[in-house]
Amino acid sequence: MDINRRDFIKVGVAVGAASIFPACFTQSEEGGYVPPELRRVSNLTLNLYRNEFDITRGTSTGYSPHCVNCKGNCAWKTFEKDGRIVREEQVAGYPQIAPDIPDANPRGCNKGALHSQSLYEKDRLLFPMERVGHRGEGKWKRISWDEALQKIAEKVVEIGSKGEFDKMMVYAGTGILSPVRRAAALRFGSLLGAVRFNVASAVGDMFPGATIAYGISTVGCSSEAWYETDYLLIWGINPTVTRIPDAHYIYEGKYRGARVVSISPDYNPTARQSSLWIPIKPGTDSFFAMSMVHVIIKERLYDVEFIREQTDMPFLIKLKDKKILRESDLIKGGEENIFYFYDEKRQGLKKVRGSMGNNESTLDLGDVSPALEGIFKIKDKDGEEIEVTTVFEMIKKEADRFPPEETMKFTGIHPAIVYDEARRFAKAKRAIIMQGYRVHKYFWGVLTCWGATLMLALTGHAGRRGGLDIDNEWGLGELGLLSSPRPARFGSGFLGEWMDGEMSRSFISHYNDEELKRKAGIGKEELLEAIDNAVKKEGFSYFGKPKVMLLFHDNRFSRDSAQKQTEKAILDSLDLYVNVNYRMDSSASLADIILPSVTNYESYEVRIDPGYGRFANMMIPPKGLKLPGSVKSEWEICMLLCKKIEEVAKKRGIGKIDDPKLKTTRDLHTIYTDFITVGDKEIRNYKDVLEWVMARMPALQGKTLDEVKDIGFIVPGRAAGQTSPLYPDRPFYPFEFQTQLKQPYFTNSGRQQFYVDQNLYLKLGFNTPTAREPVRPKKYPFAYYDPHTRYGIHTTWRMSKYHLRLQRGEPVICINPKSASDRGIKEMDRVRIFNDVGEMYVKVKLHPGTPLDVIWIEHAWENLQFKDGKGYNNVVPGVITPLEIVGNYGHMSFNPFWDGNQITSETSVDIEKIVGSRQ
Amino acid sequence: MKQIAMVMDLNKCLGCQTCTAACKTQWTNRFGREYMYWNNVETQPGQGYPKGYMDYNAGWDEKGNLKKGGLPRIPEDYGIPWEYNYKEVLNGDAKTLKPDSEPTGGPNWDEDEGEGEYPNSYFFYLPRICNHCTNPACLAACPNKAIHKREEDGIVLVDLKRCKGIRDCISACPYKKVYFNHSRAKAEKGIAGQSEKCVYKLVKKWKVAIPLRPDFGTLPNVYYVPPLSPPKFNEKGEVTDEPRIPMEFLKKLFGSEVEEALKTLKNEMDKKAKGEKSELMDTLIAYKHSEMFRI
Repeated sequence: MDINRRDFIKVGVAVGAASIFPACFTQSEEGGYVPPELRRVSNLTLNLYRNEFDITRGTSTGYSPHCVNCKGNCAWKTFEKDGRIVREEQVAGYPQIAPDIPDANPRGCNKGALHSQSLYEKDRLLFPMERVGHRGEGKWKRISWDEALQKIAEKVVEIGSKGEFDKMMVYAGTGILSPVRRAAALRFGSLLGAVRFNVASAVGDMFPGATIAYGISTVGCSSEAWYETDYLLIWGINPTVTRIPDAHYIYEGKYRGARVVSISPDYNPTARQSSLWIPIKPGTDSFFAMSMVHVIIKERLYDVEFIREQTDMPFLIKLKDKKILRESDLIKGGEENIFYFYDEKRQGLKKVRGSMGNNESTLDLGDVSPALEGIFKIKDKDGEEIEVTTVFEMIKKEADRFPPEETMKFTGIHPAIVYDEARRFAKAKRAIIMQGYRVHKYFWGVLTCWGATLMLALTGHAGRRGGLDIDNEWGLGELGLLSSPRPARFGSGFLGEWMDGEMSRSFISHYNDEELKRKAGIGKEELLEAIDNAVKKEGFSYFGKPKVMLLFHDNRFSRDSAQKQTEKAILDSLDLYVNVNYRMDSSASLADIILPSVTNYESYEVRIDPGYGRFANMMIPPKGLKLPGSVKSEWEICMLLCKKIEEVAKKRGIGKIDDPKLKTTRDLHTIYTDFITVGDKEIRNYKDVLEWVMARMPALQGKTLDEVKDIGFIVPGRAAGQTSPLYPDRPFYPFEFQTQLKQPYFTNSGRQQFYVDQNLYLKLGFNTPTAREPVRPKKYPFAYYDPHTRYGIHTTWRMSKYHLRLQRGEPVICINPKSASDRGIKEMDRVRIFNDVGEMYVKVKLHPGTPLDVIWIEHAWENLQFKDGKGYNNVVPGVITPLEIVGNYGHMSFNPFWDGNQITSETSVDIEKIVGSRQ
Repeated sequence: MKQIAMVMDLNKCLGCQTCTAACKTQWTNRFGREYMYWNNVETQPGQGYPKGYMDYNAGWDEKGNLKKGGLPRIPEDYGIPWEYNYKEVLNGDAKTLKPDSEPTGGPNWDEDEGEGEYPNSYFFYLPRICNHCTNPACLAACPNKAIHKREEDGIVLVDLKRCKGIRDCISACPYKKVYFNHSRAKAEKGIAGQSEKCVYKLVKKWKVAIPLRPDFGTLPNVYYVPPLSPPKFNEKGEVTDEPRIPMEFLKKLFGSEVEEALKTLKNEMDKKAKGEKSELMDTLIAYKHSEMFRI
């Protein structure tokens, strides 16, 4: 079939208006645009390939990173021919920062290299659509933009006029994680007073363990630091797979002399490249951390000067109630957040500078010599003598419980390994602990991460000596005027998903009450009550289930636990569900109205925030590019929606509506003007948004779009660094402002914090870092978890046929060959994975690197790729750890860094072979 | 005659398939080439792509005669590039996105599997392109003299005017890096070649880069830095001195030189770690991307 397919589309547009899903509805080019010259058998000349190459160079070029939830961020050149993108190519022009550090070229990965193919795949959404069957049936009718916008506007005005702004959700997911494209949805939602979730928490990308220690969790290094470090502990992350553009720094670092140690239950691609792989039993990592701490303390491998100045370890603890000694204990009416050292020089108490309640904002000890060890007698405000000791003593006592010989029964790690690694780690000039998002997907992930920060603190690995590498982000500057013109409703992510999805049901069915009580110290009922209290008393925000939901590039129904139950619970409460997307994903397939948007290559953007690579990359479409179908940019979609809302509001005579809870008014009758007026500028398209944003990002050092339009990237300046300067000529490490300039950390102690005397923490024994056993139930034989894949950034690109052809073509689980053969299961057999939460049908891949009691599946297949749409999360129960739902405790109060996680890997499953034909 | 060559470092290869994807978009996403992977990355130990390509008894024998070789079959050995029912899923005719034929093989079928028993299993990645051999079996096998080795750089080319689609070149190539275009009835292969000033150092001076299956006798011009591996554990769970990839397996793939190459790598890594100079490590680290392609 060699007809001109683009003409075919044009005809389709003219005649296909109201038919149900005509063939011409989606893009007709099948997986990539092939120019007509390359569709025919060409003349067979020696120049054939050269001609082909020339044709794929296109007629105009642009630049683009891929703005998804990827920590990569890479400059690509895009090539346009006949109005379509034909291919892309990595820009390899980044400057080397120093002669002895390898350069970053070329950045990119397999997903980026195939986006030109998947963006014209048949699942590309081209026109607004409305469902004609029931939700999820897949029957659609094409509607005009005007009809679609009218329907949405009517509903928004109806709800808005009743003042029910908290029943509207306008949420931009991680499919667009970049400042320009997100701005549209954020601004629109903010003007409406609609609810949006804390993105990182909703998708399960939080690091509460790091927040306890530092007060923030956007902590990490630039990837060049991996090259420079002497000891790299890779823990709960698989950078060979998930940090493709940057991973070379790790293995070049190994050639330079670094020891690279990888901890994971399965022998993964990173493990195979490491100096040592430590096979750990799933979910037991907190024991490993505490045993490392045990050895560091027992063998006195710690850095006394560092822990005295930079940590709360010299703070004093009252022996009788294990509470921190505060000013309020010593003086009537004293401050809560003023703490004390015991000064060895003066043999008496000394106020700590730099804590939240202290005006002196420095960590500098002056001539104070804080005691780390001992018990001291002091007089309290009533003149009574009380005994105090130090946080360090409390930690020592706790660590004493976890000698490597004892923890082996939980972790499976031989003590000799722990001793050896603890010594190497402590003595390394520079050491980095890299932890991934997987860590906090376990019930005790928060302990694992807090324990890792303790390992680093004891050994003084911070600032130029290394540190924790989890989630660095470069500073965006002040964009609030653009993204939050009015007070917005910012909801807890993990609690929002829990409540909206009614996940307590799967929590109750999956976990064993006795076991929870024994291991966590808290039973099911108490935990559910605590979750309830998180909203009622602890300050986490939840606004109730939405009636109207507008999702922008968010695949909520694919990522949520207890998938089928959650799906029903959310959909049942919705009057209108609108999905803005570039492709038909699992969440779009359940929508009432779908609005087609642009994707990478078709927009303007500057991507800077993900902080492994140091470069800001530009998205500039090629001049000749034509948008397929009737797709629009997110900015234009929101702008047109505002216009419609304003029209409808005016027609109904609606004026200012009070929003008393947020002490503002909502002005639906002027929302269009309000949307396009940003400060003193009128902004109607992405190019203008980009220029507005670029002018306000100090890190970009005043570079204009015009200056970089032929380069495709910008080298950010010092201001990009948030806890250290981003030096132009050396790697970035966190917390130089703290270690060099003695600025306080973001905790209530003002220091790296390892003692929490919050009531629940004290009651359950989590006042210092500690270790606990996994709580996944024993009633099913396999631990189940879902590490990230190299073939997608979450669900983006998972349905691309070119990627699927490099895999097995459909979802597979991995199981040890022995566990499989014990059950009569062979390679590529079809099996059912099940537990009390749900089931899924998949094929089997035999994987010798998998432990006998583990079944794993790669993260984020689309539900649409499974039989009956029962996806990889359909067997995952909802669960929340008690440690992440306390609030109102200094820095541990609801905020973007202190919001718990969707825990997904505390799950047990069973497997059975399916006999018979393929699904 | 000049010969350009390339070194692939198996200790740095991530198995990320970016090269495979870029080659697919540039060359083989169209007309008759869809099943071809001029560049593929396979997991070893594994069957490779096409399945069992090393077992065709191809290449040259010790006396310098072409061996019999054999022709892989598309569905069984290469695997069919399956399509998907995107449209049916979208219009409600199908509930599940799935391949239009039962997948039985593909260019990366054995990904990350390898062999051995937990916790001592092992695998590594082997990226493969045309070796532009000094003694190319494909060239010798072609009855129509359609394959030639270019004077100026040693690149092996198929002249599509002369090619009559006989496929003897495919049979003869022990690496199966020539493909048959069923739409054009022509043999096609990758022609990209890179050259590097560092090749000399790695291949001749330090002898850490060695060709795949030197026993095939074609004198490949793609060289591999063989894979190191983390140590094995003993029954008690203690770390041993033994690397987990068996030397016998590496010798089968890369010949007996691999043992010395790995020793050299380890010695030089130790030197560099102690802060001493190592030309070898400085070459492998690749400080400047642009310098990796010098002729």
